[in-house]
Amino acid sequence: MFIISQLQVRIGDHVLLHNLSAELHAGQLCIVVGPNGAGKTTLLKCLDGEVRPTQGSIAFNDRPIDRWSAQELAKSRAVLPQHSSLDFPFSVQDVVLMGRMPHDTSSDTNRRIAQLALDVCDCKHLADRAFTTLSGGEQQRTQTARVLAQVWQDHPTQSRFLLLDEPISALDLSHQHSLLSLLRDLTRNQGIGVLCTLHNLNLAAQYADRCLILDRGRLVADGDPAEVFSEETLSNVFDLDIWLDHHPQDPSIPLVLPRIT
Amino acid sequence: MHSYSSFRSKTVLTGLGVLVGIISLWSLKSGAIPTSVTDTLQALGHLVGLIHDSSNERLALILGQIRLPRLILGLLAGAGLAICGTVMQALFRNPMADPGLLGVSSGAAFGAVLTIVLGVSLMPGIYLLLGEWLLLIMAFTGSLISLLLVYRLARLNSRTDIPTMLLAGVAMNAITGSMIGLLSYIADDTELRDLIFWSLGSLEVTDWTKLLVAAVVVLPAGSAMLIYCGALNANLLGESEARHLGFDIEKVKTRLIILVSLVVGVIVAMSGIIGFVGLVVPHLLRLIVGPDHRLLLPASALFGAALLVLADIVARTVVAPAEVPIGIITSVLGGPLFLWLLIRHKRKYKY
Repeated sequence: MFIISQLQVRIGDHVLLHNLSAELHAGQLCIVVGPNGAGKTTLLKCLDGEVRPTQGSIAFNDRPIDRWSAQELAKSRAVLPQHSSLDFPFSVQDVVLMGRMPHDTSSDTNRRIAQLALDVCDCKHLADRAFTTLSGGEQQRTQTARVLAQVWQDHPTQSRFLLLDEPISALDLSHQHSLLSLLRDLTRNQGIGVLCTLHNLNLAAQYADRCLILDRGRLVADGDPAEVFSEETLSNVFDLDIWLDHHPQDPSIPLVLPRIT
Repeated sequence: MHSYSSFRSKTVLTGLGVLVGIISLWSLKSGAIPTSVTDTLQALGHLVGLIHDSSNERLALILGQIRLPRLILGLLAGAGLAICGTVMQALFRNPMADPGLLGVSSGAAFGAVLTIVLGVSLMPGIYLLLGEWLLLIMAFTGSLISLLLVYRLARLNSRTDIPTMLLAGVAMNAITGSMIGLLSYIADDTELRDLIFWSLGSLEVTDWTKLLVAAVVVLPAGSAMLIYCGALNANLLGESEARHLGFDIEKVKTRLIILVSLVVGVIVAMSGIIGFVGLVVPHLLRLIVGPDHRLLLPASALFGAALLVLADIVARTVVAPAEVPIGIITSVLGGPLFLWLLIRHKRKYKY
């Protein structure tokens, strides 16, 4: 899917990403964690083509990312940016339907898929509301439904990828969990590859197939959260005394807590 | 909420089409010699060769020479300005944008004023050769140069920076405004009269050929903009979002900016600066038909055409037989409406 090799991004003297190599696979929920300014968003923007790397290369489905046309890419890859603003009163349903723009499927199919996406993102009751009148969390869920509609396939044939930059930043606890479990289901049932940045380490530990830990532009660890989460790594990266335990119900899931001093 | 449906879209467009038809007919029948609807229709039939009745000849002559060209220019200018306004608002993702904003209109005005004041003395040869055509060419050149300058200034790392572009437009308006001020200062009395009259706007057409040129530019350019309704919808989500939805948004922006400058340049050259149409039309329509450009763009063209022809009827009849410049009518109506929109906008964003 995505093959990232020796990626470096520099703006002036400032190195945002340093020699980053990784392979991202279909059917895998990959979560990127790291402190503010670690390069999570920059990595995502390299993958979506917005930021051009200073050095190194990125290939998507065996072809360099800059050799894909926007139109081709839109059919197999959707992106949810960190901040999105829409000041025009489109209905929630119309916003989600925009996700179907790259596809030449029939309008009935598009409507059905949009309904489905609205349903799984718990936005069905908002369908006829104006986007501009929604709360922050509702807007975020609507935008998520839009990118889901973009990569959804009735009979998954083609490999697709979803890039999400902090998709739960405005969501309440229950919606945070339902979105992450939805993303994990998508990787299983639809075979979609998901890369998602997150701040909550416990959510990452509970849902991620794989965790990338970034620190000051460097990839510090890459693997199963149960293996890569260690008190030493996390304390170093986040500059906080971390106490690592296990989820009381499932000891294979790490539980991250700040140590009380 | 206004969700898009092709049935609703057809109903709205048919309704607006009928409105344009009715107002056009009204425009044709009103003037210094008021005529009945039947007479107007008969004279129109005579004009296109459907009816051969000599009793309509005088009216047919008036229609063919004065009222019909004026109506056509009104329809073209109204539709063109409204569609350009809608496109600019979508490009800037800001419902307060307007073609005048980028300095396109004032660039065209500068070209025209330069021709009116200095045309004869500065380029006597060219003026003799081109006559009144020089005004059209200079206005068009002015709009294109100012737009290219603004656009070049706003380009940053092969992206268009919207705030820089808006500020560049403000600067361009200030510069051309001061140049026009300087030119009117050195103009003599006749030139000044020409200049003021032109700058207030008029839909009077003295020459069918010029009208034809305007139509040949405005119609294809306006229709071409309709093609980009999907990309404009996606652009409202954001430029990155539009690209992620598969649109080559940089290319789309470049093309739309050139199309807008063409249409605005030609319209300003033909009829002077007619303000507020591009701002008010999409704004009012969005309240009725929603923000989807698949419907909003064609509806803007029709509603803009109807509105400007209506304003022209007012301009011609309110102090008949004299005539109020149409730019004054649109500004008198559009100015307060703009203020009302601003207040509404401010309220909406105050929590």
